[in-house]
Amino acid sequence: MKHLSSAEICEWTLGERNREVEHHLQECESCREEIGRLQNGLLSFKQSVHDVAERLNTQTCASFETPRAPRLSWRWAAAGAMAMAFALLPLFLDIEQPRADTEAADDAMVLIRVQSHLSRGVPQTMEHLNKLMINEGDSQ
Amino acid sequence: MSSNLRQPAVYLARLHATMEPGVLSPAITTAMEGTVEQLEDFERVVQIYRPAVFRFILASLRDRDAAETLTQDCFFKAYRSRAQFRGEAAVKTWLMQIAANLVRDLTRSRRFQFWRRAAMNGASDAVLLGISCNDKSPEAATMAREQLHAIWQATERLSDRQRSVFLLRFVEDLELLEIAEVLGMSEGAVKKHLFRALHAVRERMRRLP
Repeated sequence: MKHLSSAEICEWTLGERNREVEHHLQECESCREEIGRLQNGLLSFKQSVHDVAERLNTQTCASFETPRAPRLSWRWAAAGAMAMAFALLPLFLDIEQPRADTEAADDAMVLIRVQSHLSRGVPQTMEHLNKLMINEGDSQ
Repeated sequence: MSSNLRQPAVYLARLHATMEPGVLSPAITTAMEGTVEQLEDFERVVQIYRPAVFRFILASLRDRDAAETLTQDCFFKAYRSRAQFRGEAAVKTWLMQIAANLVRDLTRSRRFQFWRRAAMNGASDAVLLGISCNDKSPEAATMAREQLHAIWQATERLSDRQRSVFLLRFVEDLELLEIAEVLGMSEGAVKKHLFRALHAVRERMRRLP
């Protein structure tokens, strides 16, 4: 059996149909394999170029995309503010504690003064006179 | 062009910047007077056809930097001559025509250094051959890789016309008449170039074990 020539195989692959070639291909497995091999090679070639170009094209496009500032939702912002408040709470308490101690000491001093004022037998302005009277009584 | 190719990233960035609606230079704005309002449509054209144009140029040159630069050049030229586009051909055909002319100009001006570089640049081959074999068995992957390598080698040895015809037909799936429009030749001439290209590829593939 005479096999297809290279020209006939190429023409068939390019889409040119011929009744003789068609008839031969129905009977000859070798020529069918030959054409299939060529067509598969061309398909692999096409796929390879598409894959590579797509990958490189994507990389190029990605490198030109302007980086956007991340958008913060209100919920996340509120949650962040709450977390920040809790984190700073101990620091706030540490500042407030000495002030509370000072106020308590002041209050105690006032209470002592009030207590001493109430426990006097005579008003403060007459205390000297009262002491003189006591001293003269003792000397007599 | 040669100075542009020395710094493709800078050139690309500059071209990209000029394509943004808000930052058009006065010269370009003047050149594009009357079509600026259609800029959004042109951006859509770039989005749709950029992959095909880039793919064709990359396969023609096998040089990523040059392919990126020429792709931007292609759309820049299309952008500038958009007013002259009358819709006689499909947009893809029109863009491919510009791309083919750019590739032809570049390969003519740098023919010798280009082919020397392409022949010596094993890295590009590795990239081109390594992608589609990932999901195959080692033996099948090796065979596929050898087959692809053979096809690439065969396309290297084709004439510029034959290579363009071959890539437009078997990578971009263009019809013979569309290829004739892109390359400015008759349909008969396209058939002749395509037949010779395919014959050369087949002969190279037949040498494989």
